[in-house]
Amino acid sequence: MAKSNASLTKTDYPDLSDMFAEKEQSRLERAKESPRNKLIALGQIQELSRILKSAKIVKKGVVGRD
Amino acid sequence: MLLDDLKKIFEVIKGMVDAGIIGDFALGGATAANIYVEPFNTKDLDFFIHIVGGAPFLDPLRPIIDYLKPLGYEPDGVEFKIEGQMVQFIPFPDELTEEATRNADLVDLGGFRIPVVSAEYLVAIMLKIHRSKDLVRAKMFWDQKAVDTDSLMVLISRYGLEEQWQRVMHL
Repeated sequence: MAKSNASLTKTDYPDLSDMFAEKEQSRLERAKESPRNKLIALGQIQELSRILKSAKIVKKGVVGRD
Repeated sequence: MLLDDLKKIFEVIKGMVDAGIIGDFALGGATAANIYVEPFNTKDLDFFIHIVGGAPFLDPLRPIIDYLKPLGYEPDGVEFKIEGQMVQFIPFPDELTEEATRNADLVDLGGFRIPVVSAEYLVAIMLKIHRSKDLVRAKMFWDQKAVDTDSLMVLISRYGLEEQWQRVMHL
């Protein structure tokens, strides 16, 4: 089946390699940020880490055994 | 402040569900991993999503862009800036990610609940991607006993990840 114009269905997975490559590139750009911007980002990371460490799993998902 | 931002981001995503743009979704990636193991530096907010009704193959985020743009959330590269945070929406790239999202944990984040890819599926996804940093992170899950071994082995077997797992065990 030609994929160029095909609509996706739930079992027709898109090729996201360009998307992931662009994300990797933006990570490399972030590495070149000024020390000040990196400090700001670090503060956000620490705040996010604090929130995540207080997270509670209220319902554990199961591993499908199909 | 960031918790409020996260709540707002979650509300935006719920809005997409209510509007019939997306179906199943779950927080994945490095931020999700930080819920289960000692944190490492990341502020990436990656959500795996099922786009209801599909999307053009070469423009897989089109329905998301069309929904978010009128709300003032413009795409920036492959991410969207929502409440000051960069958020990436990742349509299921494969069966493993789809299954991981369907079987996500439900996690309480300071008063609101959000589906998060479970530790076992996160490790399986890391093994599948198998960049160096993914394998190192998979080892962190193992060393910190953050995974159910039986469940992880089921996934490793089902998705043919034995070779990557051996590399992790030799780290």
